[in-house]
Amino acid sequence: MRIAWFTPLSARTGIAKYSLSAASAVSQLADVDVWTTPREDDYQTDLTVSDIGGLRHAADLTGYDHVVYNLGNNPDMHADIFDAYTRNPGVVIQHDKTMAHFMRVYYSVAHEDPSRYRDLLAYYYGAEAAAQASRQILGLGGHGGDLPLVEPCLWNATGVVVHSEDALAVVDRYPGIVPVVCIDHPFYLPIETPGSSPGRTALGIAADDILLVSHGRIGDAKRLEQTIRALSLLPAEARDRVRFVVAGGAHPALVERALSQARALGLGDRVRITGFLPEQELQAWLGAADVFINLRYPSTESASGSLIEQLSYTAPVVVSDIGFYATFPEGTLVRTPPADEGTAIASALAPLILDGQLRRRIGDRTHEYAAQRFARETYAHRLIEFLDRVSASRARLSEVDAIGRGLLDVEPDGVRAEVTRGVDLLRSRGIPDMSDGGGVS
Amino acid sequence: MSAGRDGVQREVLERRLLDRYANCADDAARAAFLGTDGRDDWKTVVASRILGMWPRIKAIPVLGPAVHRVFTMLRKRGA
Repeated sequence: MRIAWFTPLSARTGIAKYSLSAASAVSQLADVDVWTTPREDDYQTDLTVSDIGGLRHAADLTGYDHVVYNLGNNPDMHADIFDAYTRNPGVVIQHDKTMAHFMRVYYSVAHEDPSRYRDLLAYYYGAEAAAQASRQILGLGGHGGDLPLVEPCLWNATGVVVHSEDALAVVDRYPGIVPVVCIDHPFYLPIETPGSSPGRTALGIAADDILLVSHGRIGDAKRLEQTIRALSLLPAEARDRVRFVVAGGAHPALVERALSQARALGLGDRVRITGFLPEQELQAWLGAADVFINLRYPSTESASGSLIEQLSYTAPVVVSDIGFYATFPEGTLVRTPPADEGTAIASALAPLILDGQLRRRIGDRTHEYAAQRFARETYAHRLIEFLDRVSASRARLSEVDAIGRGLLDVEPDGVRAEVTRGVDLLRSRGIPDMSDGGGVS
Repeated sequence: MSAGRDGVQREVLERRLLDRYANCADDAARAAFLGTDGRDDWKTVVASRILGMWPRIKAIPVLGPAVHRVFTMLRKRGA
């Protein structure tokens, strides 16, 4: 089996780390070529890498049995991949449960075609939702901008992969003709960096400090301000030992807000936001952490790459009890109510800060569970099995989509009638026939 | 909605076909199909225009971040 794997490789997205791990594991079972837009901060891989910019015709991909597109809500990282997807059908690995930001920027900004963005909202959610979404952009009222708009990632998909069960319902738009599957996210590969990582002392962490670490690109959903409030609510003996480091970038306004909040709460010297870090420094902070904090509300991702990365270590992780995080068994992740404003987070943190044995016990148990559930080999086998299912259903899907292409020659006011005729035709042929394994899981 | 003898709902087939049309048709055909031509009020038109100009606005030192702050404040107030 030959697979074209479209992905960003930039160090500025966790999806690059996912792809390094997943594609290399799959390459033990199939031939995998990576297609990407080269960037200066790309991770290196032993797989053959081709430039998406050099992809001129669909024929360039005909040598592959499957084209796999990694799609996520970051337009800087995925616009080129989405472009390729719109021209060539393939299997979509959907990393986010909402694509509203991506679609807004992709159509309204990158393509300077706001009407197309508006029309897609109108089509999927109704004209009023579209008008509200446009107005909301300017703060002129309306509440349409939070609509997920994942649907444009599905119309040209031959199959869809997600990494959490609750994302399945979001992508299962064509049951019976487009297979969908949930496969647990694989562990990341260790990223090789030159030299050795600095230890705690070099990072400025005293031996008896308890280091709390969050990492990744920090937005409002990661509950930074609630976390800082929680630190202020800790009992004095815990608060006085704690250091909280956010190892990653955030919007300048959020950084300013969070740091001024910390100062106001008397935690100015205990909270640090590093900004984007080179891999070696990031790994140093992750390796030094006593407790990870990985909160999310709302939950918009199919899984959480930052959590997967933290699970490679043995520090316990405090999370929000929502989405992917809620799929872990009791006694592993330390869960808090998603909308908590600080009190429950503080209650979860205090015993972990004060009790080293508790940290080790929970951390080891979680790591052991995760090592089994997120094994890379398991991921590779399940993905190949799924691609076989996609192959089995492709003939049926091609017949449906061929009629869809024919609609482009029909006058707009005749499209719905032509759709009715097309469906009648498909059903008169007994297509799609579910009897040979094309169903959804 | 109806399920044929093959078990696939008619609605699903229709959805796939219509989705392809909505995502692939050219601007004029799509707008005519959806009936969205000329139906935006002035606020929506202004919002769309500013959104289209946003990359150029945000690249302007001082002004870009200032406009972003105003948008953020307005969005929060609107929410």
